[in-house]
Amino acid sequence: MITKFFGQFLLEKGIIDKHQLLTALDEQRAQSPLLGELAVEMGLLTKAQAKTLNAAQMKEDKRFGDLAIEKELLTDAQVNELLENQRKKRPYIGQVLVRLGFLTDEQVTQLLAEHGKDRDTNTQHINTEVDSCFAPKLAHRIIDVFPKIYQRVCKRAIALHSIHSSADAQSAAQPRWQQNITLNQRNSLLSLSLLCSQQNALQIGSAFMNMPLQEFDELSIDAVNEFLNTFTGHVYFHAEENIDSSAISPPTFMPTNELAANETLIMRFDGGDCRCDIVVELRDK
Amino acid sequence: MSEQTILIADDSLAQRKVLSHVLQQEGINVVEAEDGNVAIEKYKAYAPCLTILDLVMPNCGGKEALRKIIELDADANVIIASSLGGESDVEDCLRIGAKSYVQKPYDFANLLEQIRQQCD
Repeated sequence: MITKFFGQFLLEKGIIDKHQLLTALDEQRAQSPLLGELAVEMGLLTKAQAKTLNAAQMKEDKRFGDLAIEKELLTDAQVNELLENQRKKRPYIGQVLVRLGFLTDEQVTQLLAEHGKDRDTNTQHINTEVDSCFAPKLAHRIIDVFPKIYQRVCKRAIALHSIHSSADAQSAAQPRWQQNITLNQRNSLLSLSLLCSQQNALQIGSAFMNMPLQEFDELSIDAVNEFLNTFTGHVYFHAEENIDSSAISPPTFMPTNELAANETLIMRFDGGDCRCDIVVELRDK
Repeated sequence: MSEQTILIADDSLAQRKVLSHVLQQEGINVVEAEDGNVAIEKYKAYAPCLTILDLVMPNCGGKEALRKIIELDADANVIIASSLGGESDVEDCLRIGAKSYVQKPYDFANLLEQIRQQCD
């Protein structure tokens, strides 16, 4: 798999069982600083405010950061900074598994190397247009992930061809599969779409289903939906935003293409007989 | 693994068909559900040896369906499948009672091994 956290990688490979993973996650959490403690340490909250939020959290079953934003004690940006700091300070799950005696150091080193093969190693030179766009990290991630998912599903290579900030005649004429992502704690909606011709959609759908699809019908549209869903899931797992599954809408198919967002980025991929546009748009919610 | 029934719940017809095809080739009976509510009803009707629940489905998603199935049968063998592999989703599902969590696209060899472990 391309993107999954190390614990799930070990679980799916059968190297550890679910009880060992849950024990390690508990231990990892016990060794991580609490968000309230960090906020006090960074001077963002007083001890009294952190204590009040902790007490409210026990009653309301909400995350500390969400409560702090709701009560206007912290901003989105401050919560994201705190979460990032918390992530940096917690021990790695591999270290915890060794400490608990579930794996040896040697096993972890070997398994991390295996896991690392599937992860971000993209160092290719990317057009400077990506760095100056409204979502550079996301764009880099898409450029890295899309060819991997395409290769895995379609068993063929595809590469970035060009980047645009507005629709052209080719993208405007194509059917579109779209997923919306509600950005955590923000009033904006990001959409990620796949645009391709019906013929290319049938190629992707056939590869996904592992059977030839001749008609551009419900099944072939759904197969491309799921291809997009798979791609989106992999893109957002390592995104900078803290996004969970409930923030991502099911994919929808639109026979006609309307690009009408505040900001748009179109990445065109070329695989010889297959051309796809991946479009990222930012809209107000 | 013959004579065994596996319940697949996924709102995607394509995903259901792909997975059903692979399992049927292994001689496994497959029952399909298009959302979590239908999955719960079919779980009651068929008592499958294993249920594979998609995480994100309309009406009743994978986590909610998992909770209800575990309420019905604390020993239920359920695997959650998703294109998402976020740590919080994985942990939530395992704590609710899922036996495992697999990421799509399916690695069928690995999934069949997990099915053998759960159903044999």
